[in-house]
Amino acid sequence: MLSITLLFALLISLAALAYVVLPLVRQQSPLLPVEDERLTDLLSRKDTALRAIKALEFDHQMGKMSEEDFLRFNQRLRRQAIVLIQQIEKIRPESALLDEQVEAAIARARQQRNASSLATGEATPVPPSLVGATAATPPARFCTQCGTQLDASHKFCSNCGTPVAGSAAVKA
Amino acid sequence: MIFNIGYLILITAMVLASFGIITGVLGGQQRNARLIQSSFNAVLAVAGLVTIASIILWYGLLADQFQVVYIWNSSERALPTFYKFTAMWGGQSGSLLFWSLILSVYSTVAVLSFRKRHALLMPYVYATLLATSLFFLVLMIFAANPFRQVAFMPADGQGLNPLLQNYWMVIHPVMLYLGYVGIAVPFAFAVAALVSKRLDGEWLQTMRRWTLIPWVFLSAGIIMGSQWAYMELGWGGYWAWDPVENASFLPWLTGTAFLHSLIIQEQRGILKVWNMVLIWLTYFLVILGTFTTRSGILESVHSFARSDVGPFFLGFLLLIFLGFIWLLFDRLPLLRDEHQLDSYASREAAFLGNNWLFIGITFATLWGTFFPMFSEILTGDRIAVAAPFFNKVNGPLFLALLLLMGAGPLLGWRHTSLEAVRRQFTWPLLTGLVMVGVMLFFSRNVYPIIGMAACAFITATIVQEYVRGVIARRIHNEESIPVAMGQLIRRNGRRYGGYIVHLGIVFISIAVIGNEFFQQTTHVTLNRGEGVTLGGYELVYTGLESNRAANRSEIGARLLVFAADSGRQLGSVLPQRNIYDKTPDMPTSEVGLRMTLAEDVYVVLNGWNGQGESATFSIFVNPLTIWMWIGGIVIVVGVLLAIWPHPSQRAQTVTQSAYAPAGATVS
Repeated sequence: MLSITLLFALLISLAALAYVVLPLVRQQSPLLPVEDERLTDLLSRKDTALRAIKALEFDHQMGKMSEEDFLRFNQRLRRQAIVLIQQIEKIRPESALLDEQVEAAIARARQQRNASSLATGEATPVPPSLVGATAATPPARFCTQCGTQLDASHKFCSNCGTPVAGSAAVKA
Repeated sequence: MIFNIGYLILITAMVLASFGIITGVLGGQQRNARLIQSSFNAVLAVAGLVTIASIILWYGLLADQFQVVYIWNSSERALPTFYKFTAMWGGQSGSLLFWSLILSVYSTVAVLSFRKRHALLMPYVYATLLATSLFFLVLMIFAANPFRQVAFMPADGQGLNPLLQNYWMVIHPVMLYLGYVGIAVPFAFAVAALVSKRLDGEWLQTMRRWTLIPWVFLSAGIIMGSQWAYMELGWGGYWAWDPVENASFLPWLTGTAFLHSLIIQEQRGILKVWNMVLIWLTYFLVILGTFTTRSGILESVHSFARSDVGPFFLGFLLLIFLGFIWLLFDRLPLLRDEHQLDSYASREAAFLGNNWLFIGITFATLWGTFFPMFSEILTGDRIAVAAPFFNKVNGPLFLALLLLMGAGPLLGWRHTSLEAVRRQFTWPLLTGLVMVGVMLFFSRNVYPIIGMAACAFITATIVQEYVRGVIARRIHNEESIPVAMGQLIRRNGRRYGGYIVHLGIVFISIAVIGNEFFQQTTHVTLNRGEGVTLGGYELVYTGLESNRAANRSEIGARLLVFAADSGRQLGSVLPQRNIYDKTPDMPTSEVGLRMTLAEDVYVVLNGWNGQGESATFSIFVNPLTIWMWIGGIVIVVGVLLAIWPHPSQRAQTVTQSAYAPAGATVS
């Protein structure tokens, strides 16, 4: 009886031990996720800054903050966020422009679809808010992040600080 | 036979845990993927072994294997199967195994969730989780073996403590353990962050969710304990500041402070040292709480047995304390504040005040709990510290906390201008003042007046926040009111769920105020057919009723409840005494309870004459007590709203993580 017990216990223990020791003796080393520490830090600090901006705006909407306090803190936070975004761009340009690239691809697909429907003579649906704009003024540009209308000469969105890349801004 | 396997498995788990700690620490230092993988495997292996050991003990309990000393002590043949299962945590060594089992579950879920993230933290997380497991395994192997056997097979067991034979027995300890043990996870992350010096970043958000989950279990466990005390122990109250009650409450206090203080660190990058201290303190208090409950060092209703585990706990507590002090001082430069406090009329300042109040209550409670022990050590006389001390000291502190709970959310970040203060505080303050007026009809005591006024104030602030939030959403979006409310909660779950939790706290507060200041009571002996009047009710005793259950006799006294003024019958109550076959000198009592939203009629059967010609009762009318249980449910709902996953953010956190080929190390 005792020996069977010991045998069972030994088997279970050995299995567990093997599971723990195996990675150490295997020929192939397991993959280790590689993280660029500096980039992770910057990204999380940028996220924190953007979240703080969002919280600030919400507080302002809810009337917990006076106008002058809001403007003062808002500017400070946005400047911080822009600095962080610039630093991120230096390290890993693609990550900052990911959204812009996606939006550019969507815009291109839309253009193709509009072009093909123009050829067949259908009217393309235009959002009512933009009807006047398309008729009389040059195409307005909008920020891909927050949707605020962009000034033609600006390189960053005045509302959220996202950098504006030339071809990636959504055209009306 | 099989129980020897159980013991040997625990020894293997202990060895593997030690191994895993070493490989985790070394792997983290050297960034060696093999060592880290081995440590990860060790966490899972230890979890698996502990699970097997637990299953073995459960088998023994359900199969009446009384040669195992623990099973003999905690169970009996006639015990309903349900309670045989729960007997696992009815006594010392079994509950230690249960602790380890829950820790295994938490550890497994945690390490699997973060398998691909926080790569530089995880090795130390593994090591810390394993260190906690190791402690409990050492306890079980050297001081409290759940599998200890005797050479013969006793005919029957001792039975389960009658006080533990009710449905609360299942749910209250389980909730508490889920709360207690869960703190090990955020603690492990905090240690890992300090050791690896990775103190920025997304681990803070992880911490918050992983702290909320044990927190809600701990809250539920504490409230269930109160409910158990209220409905079973029969003294008319729900909280006695008993040492074991305090043991569960202390980590709740620091844990709540930690949850709030984390918000500030996320938003403003300050209070970093506070947060480290708070999470360490919470973990320390969890171990301390387990120690005080298990070592018998403080007498209480809960101390089931004295034991040999005391010295081990003391050693571990000392290690945690010294280790923390050293680590904190060494890493202090990394915990510098990123900003300062811009103004005292700001949310940050309110949260700071919040921290201080919670710490104040914690230390007052610690002092009161341990003072008898210290006085006995120093003077030989055990000076009792009972409820009046705690109420007197903690009462005003809780009141201040309530006021802060209302005012805090109304303040803005950084600074609140006078105009904003006026706009935010006017309506809630008016509501509070109206309540003061109302309360003056009911009491001249300043505490309930201010307490209720504070509750009204907070409720008004919460309603105001929701109303203004919905209005703000509707200005910027075309949404109907229900949709706006839904979106508000969905996008700001943490804040609006948090408000619901606060509402739950308000409900609990009004229950406390009602019970504490407006309770009416009488003790009376009634003959059959005789009645007594109390607090607007008339209760008439009609006779005894008895019932035979599996391992006990239940004897109840029926009382009819009438409204005193109209004479209309409202119902009846049946307070009982349960006399257990195995322990006839330890009867338990079932309270006869009639609950309404306004008040409870609460009757305890103290004794009776002969066949029930007369019976003695303690009768209480407890106003507003049901709101405590309602508040508990509201808290859980609030937490669910707060931790519900958000509309997903951009996958930027994933794009910068790439997998390196074999042999590469992190740059």
